[in-house]
Amino acid sequence: MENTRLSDSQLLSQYKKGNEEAFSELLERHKDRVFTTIYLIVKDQYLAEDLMQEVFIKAIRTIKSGKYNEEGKFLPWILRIAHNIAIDQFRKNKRYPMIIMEDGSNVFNTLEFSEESVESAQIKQDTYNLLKGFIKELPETQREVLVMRHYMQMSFQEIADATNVSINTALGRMRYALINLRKKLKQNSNAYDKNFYRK
Amino acid sequence: MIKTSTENELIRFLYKESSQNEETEINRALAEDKDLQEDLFSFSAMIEKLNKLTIKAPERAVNKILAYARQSDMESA
Repeated sequence: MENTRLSDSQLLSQYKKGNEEAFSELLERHKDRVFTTIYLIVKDQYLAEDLMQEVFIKAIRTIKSGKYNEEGKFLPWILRIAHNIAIDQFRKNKRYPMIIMEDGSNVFNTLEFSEESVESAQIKQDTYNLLKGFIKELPETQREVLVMRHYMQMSFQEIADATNVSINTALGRMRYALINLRKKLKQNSNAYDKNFYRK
Repeated sequence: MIKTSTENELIRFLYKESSQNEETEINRALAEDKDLQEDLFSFSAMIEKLNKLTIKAPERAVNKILAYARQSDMESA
């Protein structure tokens, strides 16, 4: 059967000509990867939603103004925008981590609580959900390499260049990320087994 | 004990970024080192899980982006 799927580059030129459906298709193709990249950096569902909108709006403006010049490389381009916006936000939040509400509570705790309740309502004890949580707990440098390699499809050399470290440091961070995730999943499965046998 | 350089090479190998020579080297190291073999399988399983992990973008955010795209189309028409 003939493959009639249009490439990203073809969709982009259609969109530039005013074909709105072409943009919907691009969004449909890449929205989850963009969202995953942002979410794993900022670790907050609602903030990730806002930032995803910001990323795509920036992309729309750039394309519409004729400034987009990376034909055929739409995904790495938009993932770079996503990464930069998410990292900026993450660092800003780290500098100003506390927003105290009228009742004295921290607004970030409120958001985190809301997010947890949504998540727990969806899938409990699912490996991927657990993994998502464990990635959020990784040290920043390890999480950054993991996101860049898995979701932004950057090579270790590109990651090393982008983060101003040697390739061995980038590889070491990835290795420690895998070791930490393996350890956390193992601990979790041991804890689950103990609870199971206790019953 | 596994050398750190070998451990890092294993990571490159798993992500298919090794050169032909590095692949030969890591295969040789794997044949001699049980700990490295254990890492190969457990890391490979973890990488597979990570590759499958995608978080679904919320519909309301997607709809807002589409609305913005439509609006900007109308403005530029």
